[in-house]
Amino acid sequence: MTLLDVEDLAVTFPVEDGPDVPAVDGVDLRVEQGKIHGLVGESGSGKSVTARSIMRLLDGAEVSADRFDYRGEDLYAKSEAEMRRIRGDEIAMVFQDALSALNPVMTVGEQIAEVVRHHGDVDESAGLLSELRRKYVTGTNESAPSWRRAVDLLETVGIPDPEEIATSYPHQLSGGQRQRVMIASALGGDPSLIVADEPTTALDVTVEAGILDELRRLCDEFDVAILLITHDLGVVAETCDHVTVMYSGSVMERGTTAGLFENPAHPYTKGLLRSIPEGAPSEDGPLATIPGSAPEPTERPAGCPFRDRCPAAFDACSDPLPEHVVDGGEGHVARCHLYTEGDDPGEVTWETGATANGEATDAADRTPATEVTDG
Amino acid sequence: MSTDYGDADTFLGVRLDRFARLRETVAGDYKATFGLVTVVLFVLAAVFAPELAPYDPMAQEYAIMQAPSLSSAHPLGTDSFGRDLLSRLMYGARVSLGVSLGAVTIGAVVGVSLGVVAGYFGGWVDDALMRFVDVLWAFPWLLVAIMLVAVFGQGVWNVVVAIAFAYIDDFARLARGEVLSIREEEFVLAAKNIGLGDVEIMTEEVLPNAVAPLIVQFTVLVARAILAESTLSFLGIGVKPTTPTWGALLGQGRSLIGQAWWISIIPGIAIVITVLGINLFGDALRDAFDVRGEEGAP
Repeated sequence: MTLLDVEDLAVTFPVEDGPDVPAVDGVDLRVEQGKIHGLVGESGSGKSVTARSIMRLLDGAEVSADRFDYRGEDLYAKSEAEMRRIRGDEIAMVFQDALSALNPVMTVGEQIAEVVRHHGDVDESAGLLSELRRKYVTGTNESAPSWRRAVDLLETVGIPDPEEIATSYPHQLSGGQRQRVMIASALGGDPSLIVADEPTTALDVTVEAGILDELRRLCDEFDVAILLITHDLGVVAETCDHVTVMYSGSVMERGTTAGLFENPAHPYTKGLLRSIPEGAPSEDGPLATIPGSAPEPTERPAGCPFRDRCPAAFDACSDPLPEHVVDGGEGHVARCHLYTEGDDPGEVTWETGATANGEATDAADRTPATEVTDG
Repeated sequence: MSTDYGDADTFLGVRLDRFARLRETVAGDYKATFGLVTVVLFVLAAVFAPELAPYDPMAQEYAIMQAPSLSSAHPLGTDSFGRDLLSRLMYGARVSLGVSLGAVTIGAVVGVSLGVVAGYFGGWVDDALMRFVDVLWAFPWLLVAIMLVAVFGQGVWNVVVAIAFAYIDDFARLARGEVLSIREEEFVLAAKNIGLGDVEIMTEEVLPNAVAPLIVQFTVLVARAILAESTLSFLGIGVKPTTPTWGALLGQGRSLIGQAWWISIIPGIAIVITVLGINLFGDALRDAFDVRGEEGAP
């Protein structure tokens, strides 16, 4: 079942005395229940803005979309009161830096219990006065259902000795523990969708692997959908069922993780996959890169934003982005003019400069307008 | 409301183990211990003045006018009407401490509310509220006191209101400044993301993070309020002139400073010790509330 269905999302930040900044332009996103959907892209590609638009918490942004449905209902048609119920209760957010996303002066148990009282199924008052009384005077009773649930949640996310950790402050925990606490707190309202904004970027790889396993397990066990924002294709390959690749505010390619990784279609995706370091650095010469850098949102070329860096760019690339289903598995869409509907993406490869082996490619046959070489 | 807290000791529904940090902080710091002991002693002396005071503070004894300290049956001596200075000091503490605590509490509640709302919402709300606070600040509080006394006559509440009025802007500015930086923190965004409303975020998430500096401000201003009350009494626009307050005692003794220094010096010492004690205790309170100062896993 499709939980979140977004079509043609555009987010613009109006700027006084300056051109408006179109952070996101024409993004489609479909998140299925109980699946992990990876939203991958480099810094500034608009993946976080896309994610935060789901919470409707983008201050000062102009958001428009042809469709922005959660469970078939338009999120942007809801009242603020309804949104407050949805936040935490239906859709929860996990932040990159758990240390700053947790309240430093409250114990972590208190913070999770608060979410549980607001959204969970416990018979405890979450009224303002009783919350204030708890916060400033009594604290949450350790035999109260919300506190018990908080301890259970800490155990669920794999925290050893949850009773003890629940009474700790965020700064007393390790980075991995804090991120697990964030996840526990996101689970506090029994959400159907968790938006995880680079949840493992601040962690080292072994801890990262633990957190990703945890997310995978929660997803399978509780049928929670996760929108996993990351810039790490390795994370996507290990964790996600579906993946959407973003570049400079637009979706470049999307599909199942297996289909997209086996048969990458878009030159950008290919470039990214080619840039993943493998083995010892000296074996294949210098690390492959995509030459150039992403354009500023205000200076994007017309048509495909990747045009100026693309080795296969040709005249048609200044036309608006197309939407081509390609033969890389179910729902595999490449937004690239190189293709016509149903093409086999395997025919096109990224071959320029340092790694070029001289083979003529389909891309070249389609008369690219510029020749790009690696710097 | 009866709540079961399991094994934890409670007092009036407040779990005592929540104050373990405060107890440790105070016990581990002799300045804080001194501050707490001083404040508690003075408060007890004030509260139980009718029971503890050796004499009626109003009883005049013409035989022993201006008796020096430690010289007679009056441990701190007597004033120019032969009234026992120790008793007057204890009764004076009731007014001085009561007025200053009351005034600063009112100023804190009003000022912090204004400041938190202004800082949290920003924009025109901030502008409107802070200009209002500026007006309060620009208004000389002594004039307010004189005006209140002129309109309503002398009384404790007029003094409380006049002093509270003077401190609203201090609390408002401090709270606003704190909130301005706290509201940009990610945990505020996280709180919005779990569906908390503005009022809940302000009171439950933001304010607890601003408590430490506000407590320090509170203790500093209690000290200043004692001086302010003394000022008003000294000028004769405080509480009724016959009521003993520390400021009034000090004021009455000033013309006799050459012959009987203790009449004004002893209330002055009481003020200094109390102010010092409150400030020292305030520092300990701030340390106890600042959970981030503590390092290491539990």
